[in-house]
Amino acid sequence: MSLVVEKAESGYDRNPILTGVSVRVDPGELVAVVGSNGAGKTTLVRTIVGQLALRSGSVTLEGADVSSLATHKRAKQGLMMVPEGRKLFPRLTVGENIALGRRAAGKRATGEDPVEALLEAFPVVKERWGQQASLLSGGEQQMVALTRAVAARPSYLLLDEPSLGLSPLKTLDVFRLIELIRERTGAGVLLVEQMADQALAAADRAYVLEHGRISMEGDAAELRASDEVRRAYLGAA
Amino acid sequence: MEPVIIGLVLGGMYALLAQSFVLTFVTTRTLNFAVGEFVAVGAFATLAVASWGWLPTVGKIAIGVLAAALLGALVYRFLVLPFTTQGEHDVRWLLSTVAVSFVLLNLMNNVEGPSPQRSETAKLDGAVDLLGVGVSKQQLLLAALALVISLGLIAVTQRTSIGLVMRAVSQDPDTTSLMGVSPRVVGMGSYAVAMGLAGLAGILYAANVGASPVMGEPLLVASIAVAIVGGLGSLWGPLVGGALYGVLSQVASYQWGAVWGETAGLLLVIAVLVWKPEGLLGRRAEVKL
Repeated sequence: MSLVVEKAESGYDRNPILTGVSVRVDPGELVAVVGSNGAGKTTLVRTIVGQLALRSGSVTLEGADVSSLATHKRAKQGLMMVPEGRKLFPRLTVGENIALGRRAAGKRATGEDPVEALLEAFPVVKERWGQQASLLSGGEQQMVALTRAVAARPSYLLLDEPSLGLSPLKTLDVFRLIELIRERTGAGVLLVEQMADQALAAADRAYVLEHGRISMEGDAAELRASDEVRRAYLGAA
Repeated sequence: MEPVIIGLVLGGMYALLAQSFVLTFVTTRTLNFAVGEFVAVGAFATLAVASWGWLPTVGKIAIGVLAAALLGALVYRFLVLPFTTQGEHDVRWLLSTVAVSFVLLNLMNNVEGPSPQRSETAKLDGAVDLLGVGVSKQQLLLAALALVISLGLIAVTQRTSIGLVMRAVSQDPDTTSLMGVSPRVVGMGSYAVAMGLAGLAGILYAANVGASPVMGEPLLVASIAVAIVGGLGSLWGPLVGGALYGVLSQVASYQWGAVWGETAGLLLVIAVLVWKPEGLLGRRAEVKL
């Protein structure tokens, strides 16, 4: 049982972006997708959650084909995305944003609440609880966005460029939080990142996305060590 | 004093319809220009069951409200939603709701005929004395309902889980669906409530002017004006806009004659559009760069 994308083709209007991408995330696994700007990383996660329609191929969740389900139905089945740019509801408070995540959990909300552990490790979210989300810094907003997704008790979590626009220090925090989420929720995480080095260091497995195709895949540590990846994405000579 | 009191009461009536514009605008960024006909739909549906002696008055009113609400949800699902799919500059829904308005108007003209029919299901006889001004109980009931319903809607949006979802949808519909909320259901729900309100206004108004296909038209211009003055993005807007518009137009027509009443109201709209286009209580649309 896992999240499986098979030979996905999708894009915008007349521009095909993904041309046959296959990706797989197993429960509890952290999988990175690295690639340069315009490679199709955001298109991939938007296709997985159904914000973009598949032209061919399929998305299956725990063995069930969800390719034709609307975005909100996939969310209800535990497929959560933290979109690029966080997308908090700007005029709702931090607490209300997280309450919307909790609401999405529905019947999946059983057992220990993973949000508590997150709040304990990163108390800044709790300190900001009653504040309007738009008043938070970028790093704080990312923390809230991740907490909101975890509140929905995801079985699979898709993270689109969580480090975007953050300082190196805040980026470290975000990666620590992602590790904690994996540990506490057991969710499979698909991490799409331009910060290839950090993403590969955190991940178990990884895919390299290039011009809408998977050009390499395998063990994250091995990819991180390979000459090709180092030259293209890690800035090494 | 008299024009002020009468103005407030009239403004309350307009506010009820303005609230239906605000409700659909906040959640779906669309307005139903067939609202005037939904006023008549509510009135006719209640009229149709007026002779059912076993049904208490409240039940007859409820049938009118539900008929308008159900029709509203269907109109959203099949005639508004399909015409909003091409991004924020897609305004085909505007034409389709105007079309709904024509179709309903002609349908009702053919079935019920153009002349007003007596409808006294929701009639309150007599008048009450408000600060020395005689106000018909019927008018007062409409204004009081507008106030109570507006405050109720505000409480719902601030205090309940459904209200939280409504506020979220109004800020970012795409992200709301990532939270497992169906935008279609929210849209149908808000159209149902909004058109139910229009139907309710129609049932009560019909006791004064009779039920007729065109009965909603005179209310339409004033309630759009009220919605714009108050701000389409705020549930408080219709209350403030209704009071201002009602009082200003009544005072103007007392002072300078009836022609100036509506003119003054529309001048107010122009003034608001020039100085504060988002409405007095509205919020400027945020444009992300």
